Amino acid sequence: MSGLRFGLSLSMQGRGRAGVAWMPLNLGAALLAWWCADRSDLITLSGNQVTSWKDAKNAYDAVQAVSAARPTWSATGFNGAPGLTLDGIDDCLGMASQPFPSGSDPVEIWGVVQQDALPADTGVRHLISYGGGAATTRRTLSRVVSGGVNRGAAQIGNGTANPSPANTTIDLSSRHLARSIVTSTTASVSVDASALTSLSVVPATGAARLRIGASDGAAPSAFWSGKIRDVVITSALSTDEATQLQSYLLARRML
Amino acid sequence: MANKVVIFPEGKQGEADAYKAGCDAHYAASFEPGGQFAYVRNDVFGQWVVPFYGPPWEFMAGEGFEEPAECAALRVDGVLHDFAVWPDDE
Repeated sequence: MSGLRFGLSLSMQGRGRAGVAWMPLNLGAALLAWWCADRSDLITLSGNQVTSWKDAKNAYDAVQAVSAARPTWSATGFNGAPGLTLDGIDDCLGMASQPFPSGSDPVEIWGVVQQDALPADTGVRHLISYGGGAATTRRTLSRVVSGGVNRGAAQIGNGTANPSPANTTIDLSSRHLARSIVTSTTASVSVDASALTSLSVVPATGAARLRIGASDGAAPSAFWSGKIRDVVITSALSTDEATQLQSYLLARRML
Repeated sequence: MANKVVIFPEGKQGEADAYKAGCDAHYAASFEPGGQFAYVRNDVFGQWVVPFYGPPWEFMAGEGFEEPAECAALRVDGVLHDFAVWPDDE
């Protein structure tokens, strides 16, 4: 990890210099959290079970106390790259409160994932979910099944319902980059830099908790089945910022 | 962590709790002092779900794990399943 730490230090100090690789930390204040499976220094294991995964920006700590519900980590689990594996039965990591944009404040959520659930399994599965603990008060980046095909989706509660834009062009099976964008009036989703699919929604997001790999309800459900390499949360990004982040994360899919 | 679940009938909460306690005790003694292996949760049908303390679960990848006899004895009222159907909060 010494090489990675060296690179991080350079990129933070020498932002924009020629020859310095761009990383999400270069987003500065726009980056709210980045859970990165490559950062083994921010992952705590018991055996090969993940008990804690801290984000690289603010050390937000997603934890799991129960052994049977812990994801596993492997240095080669994401097609040769580091990744967390979640069983789709009960694995998830959580924060007892969530510090991210709430109410109708804008946010972007990005994930580099491997989605392993079969289309015959038609339940919703959340990569990440945060909010007030109910469908009507949460924001998610999720997998749904539409027309017999796995799709990337967002579920954005507006206080009375949860409008759910779903990508319609990319089969979310296997490894992809998924992105949701929430503004004060719209929820959008894309997969692998596809065109955005959008719905009108005025978010009414609560602050009860966050979960990676499941819903943010009092009892978790809608468990992710597959692998995770990155989860990134940002404030609203400029076109240039989004382009840089997208390029960086697309290259991490290990296709 | 890949695992199966043991599902106890609605009227067998005490047995589910006992199985969980047995698994937790073995896990804490064997792998993680003070640690907790299992939970007890209702599925969508009101049955009691406890994670199975046996294969394919393992503490370290590749090491394998054999279900302790004392834990197997505590789940005679339950049925082993590949997954649970959780209540939907969507």
